Amino acid sequence: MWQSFLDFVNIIWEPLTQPFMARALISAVLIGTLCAVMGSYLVVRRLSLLGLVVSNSVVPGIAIAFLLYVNIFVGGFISGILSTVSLGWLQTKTRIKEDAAMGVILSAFFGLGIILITKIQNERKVNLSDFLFGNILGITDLDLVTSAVIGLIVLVTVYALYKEFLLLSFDPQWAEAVGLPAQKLHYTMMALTALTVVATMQSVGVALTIAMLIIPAATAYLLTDRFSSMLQVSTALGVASSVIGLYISYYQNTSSGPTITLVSSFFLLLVVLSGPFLKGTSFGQWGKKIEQMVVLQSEPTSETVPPVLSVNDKTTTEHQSMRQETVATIPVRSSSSSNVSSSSQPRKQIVRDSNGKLVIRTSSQEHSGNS
Amino acid sequence: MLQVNDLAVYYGSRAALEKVTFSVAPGRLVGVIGPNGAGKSTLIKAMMGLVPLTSGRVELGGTPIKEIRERVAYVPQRAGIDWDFPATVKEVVLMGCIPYMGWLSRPQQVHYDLVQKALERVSMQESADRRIGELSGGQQQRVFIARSLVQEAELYLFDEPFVGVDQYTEREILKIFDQLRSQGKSLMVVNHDLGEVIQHYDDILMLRGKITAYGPREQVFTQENLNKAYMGQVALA
Repeated sequence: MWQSFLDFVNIIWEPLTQPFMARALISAVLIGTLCAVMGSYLVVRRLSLLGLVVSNSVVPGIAIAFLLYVNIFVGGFISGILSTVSLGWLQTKTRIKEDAAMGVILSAFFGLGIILITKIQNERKVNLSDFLFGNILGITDLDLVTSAVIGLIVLVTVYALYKEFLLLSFDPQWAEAVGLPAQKLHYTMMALTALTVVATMQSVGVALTIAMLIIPAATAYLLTDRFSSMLQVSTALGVASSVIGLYISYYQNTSSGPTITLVSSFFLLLVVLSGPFLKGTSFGQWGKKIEQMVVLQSEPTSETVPPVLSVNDKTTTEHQSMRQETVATIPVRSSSSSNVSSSSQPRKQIVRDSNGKLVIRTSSQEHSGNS
Repeated sequence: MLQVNDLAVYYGSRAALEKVTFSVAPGRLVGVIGPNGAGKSTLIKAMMGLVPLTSGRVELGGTPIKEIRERVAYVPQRAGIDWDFPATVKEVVLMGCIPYMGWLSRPQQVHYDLVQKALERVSMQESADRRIGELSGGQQQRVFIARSLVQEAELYLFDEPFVGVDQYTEREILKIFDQLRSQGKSLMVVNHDLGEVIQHYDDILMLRGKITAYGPREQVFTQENLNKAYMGQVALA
């Protein structure tokens, strides 16, 4: 027992005695945090694919930076920003919708980037696959310092603009209506995303940076009720997947980017599969719905039970206790869900557009007659 | 006093609104009615500067609204929001404080008190910590109204607040309207429905690309005016 524990410690510790692995570990923690934070904003704003656009669009900037002997972080950042600006331009100047515009910009920038990199890779000893898929074990001290500075800039900005970013993400039109510079905030957020991408590209590679941005954030989205806790859970997942991915990549000699991606996907899968058991989380809605369906048939409505059922954002993993809790609270749940007072019943929002306005009456009748 | 002068909005070459001139005195509750595409929501959005004005001025107490937007509370249509957003009721209402909090500041106790008071006014205090995605349509609307209440604005613009809400919420909203009116606020409410709720408005502004009638409800809400605005498709009950 003791021996196996020591073995485990050794498995963790031994690689860190090599400087390149120590650098890689710091880098993994750093990018895990950065990507999780910026990715959370992208996910709740339904701009996940914008992460893909930015990450693929840094490639031509990197290539040009190599050609001009300037810092590749600067080149990548500029070209990432250019991609979001041209995306906005394409959308406002033409009738092309967001998704198509993203496809256009992404492939144009990426195509240019690949051509440039293949042209220069022989004379400058640049490895194309390192940029596409990352090489977390090849990170230099200078890379690490640059990434750390970028990370500091991103995190401090997010902290400073937290409430404005939250409002922008939740209700951009209202943010504008009350006088916030919504457009500027949006581009600030995009600039931070571009910074995150350039800080990440050497470890994970531009092709899979999107995974680091989106997967931990999407997993956290399923588990949390508040954006602040989503940021925390997402960060924890991001750091855990990059560190675990790094060790697997070290011992199994696999590419770091794809390995980290697979680890974070595994976490997502785990959460999805255990979803119905995670009561008290937003994702536990599934479980609630099933309970309602089952229980409503057998139990009549009682109006004596208080209608409001508070939901905490527990993210505990004690499955055993949670299962017991689930069983115990079924009657309360059923009566709350079927209570005549419609104020307590979670109901799907009525989707309505300017053409469908005559549906209004019908829906309000449904409301009053629905019990 | 809200004053709108010669406001016009064009979408491309098509006029959505033209020659809109009116004023609303403090303590008045104005119902904005008109058929689909009459420009009701466009009027509200144009006043808030959310759609570009082709011409016109919108002033509150002599100052252009653009410069004092935090003094205007805008309650948008519920459908424009992703209600799956991870936020609690309290957090959303707290967002109403952001316009006047200033950069880099964090919410203080005074803001939390405002939120608590606003939630009580719309009878949502018990749901303060619930996730917004779990709310009914009526509760969502009341959260939006609470968010505008913490703004402590002078002018309130409601875009179709009665759509898809239950009777209880409808009464709560009308109660809030009465409170705001007696506090001397100006209110404009876009209303698609010509039902009972109309009886609660002081003034009626009928729209159909331009103002077809505006004035006290008893004088304006007539079959003749409705025929003009709705092309004779509506009968008064």
